[in-house]
Amino acid sequence: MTTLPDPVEPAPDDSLDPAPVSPLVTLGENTAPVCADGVCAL
Amino acid sequence: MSSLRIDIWSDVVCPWCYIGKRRLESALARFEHADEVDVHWHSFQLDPSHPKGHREPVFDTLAKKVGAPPAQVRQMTGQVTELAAAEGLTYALDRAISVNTIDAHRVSHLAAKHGLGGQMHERLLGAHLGEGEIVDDPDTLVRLAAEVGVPEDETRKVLASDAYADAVQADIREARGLGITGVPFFVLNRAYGVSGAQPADTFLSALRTARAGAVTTG
Repeated sequence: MTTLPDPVEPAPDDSLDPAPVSPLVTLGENTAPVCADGVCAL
Repeated sequence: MSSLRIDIWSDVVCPWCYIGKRRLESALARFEHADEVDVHWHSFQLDPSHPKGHREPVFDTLAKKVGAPPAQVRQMTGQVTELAAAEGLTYALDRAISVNTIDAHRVSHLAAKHGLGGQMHERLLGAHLGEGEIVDDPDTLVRLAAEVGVPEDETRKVLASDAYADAVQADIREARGLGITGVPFFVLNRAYGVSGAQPADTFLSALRTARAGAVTTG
């Protein structure tokens, strides 16, 4: 019995899901502390 | 009539969000058009992958994320605790417990339906950051919600279902569409973005800029 090779999932193409460009006008300092990705700049 | 809308994305376990909230409030206290301001709170999950039901001390969670021993993490959190104190907030991060915040956000949406969204978010921030409350525990959430005026039976019904889960996800999707990757994040009149726990003076300046823009264009 012939077995088919396991299908290979194509690598995700990051270009299909780019980080959205903010439509907002930025105000304030860009060094203000934030929490992101579960980590806070302490 | 409101001429300045403020949309705020925040998580209830975010130390900078509570500080940012206080600094914005400080700016609003000095803002000459504060009576025209309409604030809307939105959900953001700092760690949506945190397993639901899993609880561990915040210091242990942070230690894993930054690859430092808990003792070092404790030292690192000293600064944010001091800055919180400068805003009149008492942090007790050594007692804080990491949880998945989806249920807390669902309860916040229920509270918002009662016009209590801001009060609920304030209560949850204080409970997690200052009181060691476990903000994924159903009884705790029911009690905290009741403290701000949300009927207990309604909170229990929400927690026993998946009510408002869609609303939480919609908030997070909207944040992503606006390019928001961290919190706190403040959007003024759907046009201006202010990221992070900015100084109160910066918030005040931003409020004046946004209002001037609204008056000019409106």
